[in-house]
Amino acid sequence: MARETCAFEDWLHNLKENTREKETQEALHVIALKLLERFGARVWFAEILGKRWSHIAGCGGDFPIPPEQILLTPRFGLVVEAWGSLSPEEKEVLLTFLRDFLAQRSTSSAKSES
Amino acid sequence: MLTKSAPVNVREWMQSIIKEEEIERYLVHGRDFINDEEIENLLKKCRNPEPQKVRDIIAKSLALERLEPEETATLLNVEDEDLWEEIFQAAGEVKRRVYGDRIVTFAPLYCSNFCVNNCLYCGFRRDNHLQKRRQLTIEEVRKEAEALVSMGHKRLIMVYGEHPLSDVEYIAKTIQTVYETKVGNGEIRRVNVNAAPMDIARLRVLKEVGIGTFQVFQETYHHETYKKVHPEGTIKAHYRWRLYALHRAQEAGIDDVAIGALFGLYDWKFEVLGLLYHTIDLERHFGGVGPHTISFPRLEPAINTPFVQETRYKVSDRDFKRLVAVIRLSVPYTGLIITAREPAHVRREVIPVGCTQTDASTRIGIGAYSERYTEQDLERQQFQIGDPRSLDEVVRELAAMGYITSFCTADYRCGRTGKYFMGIAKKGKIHHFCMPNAILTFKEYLIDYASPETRKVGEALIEKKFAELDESLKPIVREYLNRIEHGERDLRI
Repeated sequence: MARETCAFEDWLHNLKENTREKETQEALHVIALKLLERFGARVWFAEILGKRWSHIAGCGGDFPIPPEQILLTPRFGLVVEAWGSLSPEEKEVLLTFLRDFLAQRSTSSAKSES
Repeated sequence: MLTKSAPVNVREWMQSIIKEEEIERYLVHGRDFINDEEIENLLKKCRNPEPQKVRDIIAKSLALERLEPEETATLLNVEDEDLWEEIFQAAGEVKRRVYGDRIVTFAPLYCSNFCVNNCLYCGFRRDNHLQKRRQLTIEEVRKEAEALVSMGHKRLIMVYGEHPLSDVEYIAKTIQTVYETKVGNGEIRRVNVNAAPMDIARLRVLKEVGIGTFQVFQETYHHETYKKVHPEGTIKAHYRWRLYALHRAQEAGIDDVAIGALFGLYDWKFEVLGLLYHTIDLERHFGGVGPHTISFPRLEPAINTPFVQETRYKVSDRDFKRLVAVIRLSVPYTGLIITAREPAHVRREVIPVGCTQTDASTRIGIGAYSERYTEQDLERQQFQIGDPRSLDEVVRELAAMGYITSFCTADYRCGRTGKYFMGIAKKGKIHHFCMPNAILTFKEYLIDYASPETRKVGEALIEKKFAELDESLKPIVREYLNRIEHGERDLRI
């Protein structure tokens, strides 16, 4: 268990390093991809504009599964179709990382940065 | 109610609108993507097509691939009635494969008929002194929204003339007002916008209020005709400012955009190819994301607007059905909108060849919903509509034809928009998502708003469509249907 926790922390550390310098949309694309590769988690990110959740990066499968919508910041949301093999503890750590990451970037529109 | 222009300098305002630098970056060697000569030559070159060639093109559409201009030009040149029947059948099949037997329904809400333009075909044109000018106040917008919500609508298209009184701040305020309006269980969940082309800065303001689709129709793609019908000295006279309006919208981060042409200004075959070239150029620039929907309104009579009677390019009902079927086959994965401009018998005939959206209970006079007037009043309408039936009547008729009326807005509210949505649509998988949600929102409508007669027809259709769902979806859809029966709302997959 300790080794698994350590492995997750290493993975997250690498992810943070990998996304630090990237623009928001590109960084979220990388995060969604890594979550799929490593945990089989299917997620996408959206920019919240009133009632609209506008797609930024990531995607679900081709078949509908009622998604879970998680507010990360007033500006950004996470939509989860499947958490894959992420444990409840890992989910919490991941969500904290995403909230911090996006809080620093929430003043500008993700899609008009580039 | 505002009935006359506020003291703004219209000329100065007009000069601030167009930004040439936001057009130039899309031109290739100084040219836009509509090459009139090339289109005319294609239409000539593809005359008298061999039946086998036509069937090969139909097969490509059935594989849900977008057609190339030459292929579309070939379909447009078919003369043989039996081949046209094959085209109609294939168009219906493409629609069923991609979208299923459902029709998304909405209502238009006209907010203002002040306009700085002078388009020859339009009842709102600046010099039309028989048009009674009016702009809804925010309180009046709220009343209109309440009236529409009370009918059962969940989606609107909000329409504005081009004028400093209805600038982007006004548009944003009216949209926010509509989103805030609630009546009982009801609310508007998606607002699409039909407004004049804007620069990127203004489009970003629009994006921030969470619009659904941004719609700008080119009216005609034919350069010379465009010039004739949009007099010089008006903003609308600038062909390219309009042509690239949706490129700018995409740049501003609005990823659901909609195109259209006003049929009756020029040769309908040319306009169909114009729509296709527009689609291709958007796809080329924005990672494969073309228009979310395509519209094909026909010219309708408007007060003091003789141009409509005089045009030699009026489209007959027969050709109208043909053009819709060809657009369906040309862009299999894009939504097609037929509106209440068309009389009921035309809608009945044309919906099966590929339409995915329509409006109902339509009133296009400014303030018409809350003032509850039922007769058409051309002095405050852009044109005359052909089908003023209530939402309940339209829903009942569609159900009798086997179509679920969908009030679904789920994709837009969970981030399945733009590139993601287009990816699902291009694979022909969108009906997996949309049919369950269509059934759920239809159920809500039947309980909350439908007449007993409509409810009876609708409930029977829900059971039929439920039986056709993928087995894996049935348990959750049944559970949600039961929960809706017990008073829950807005359940979606």
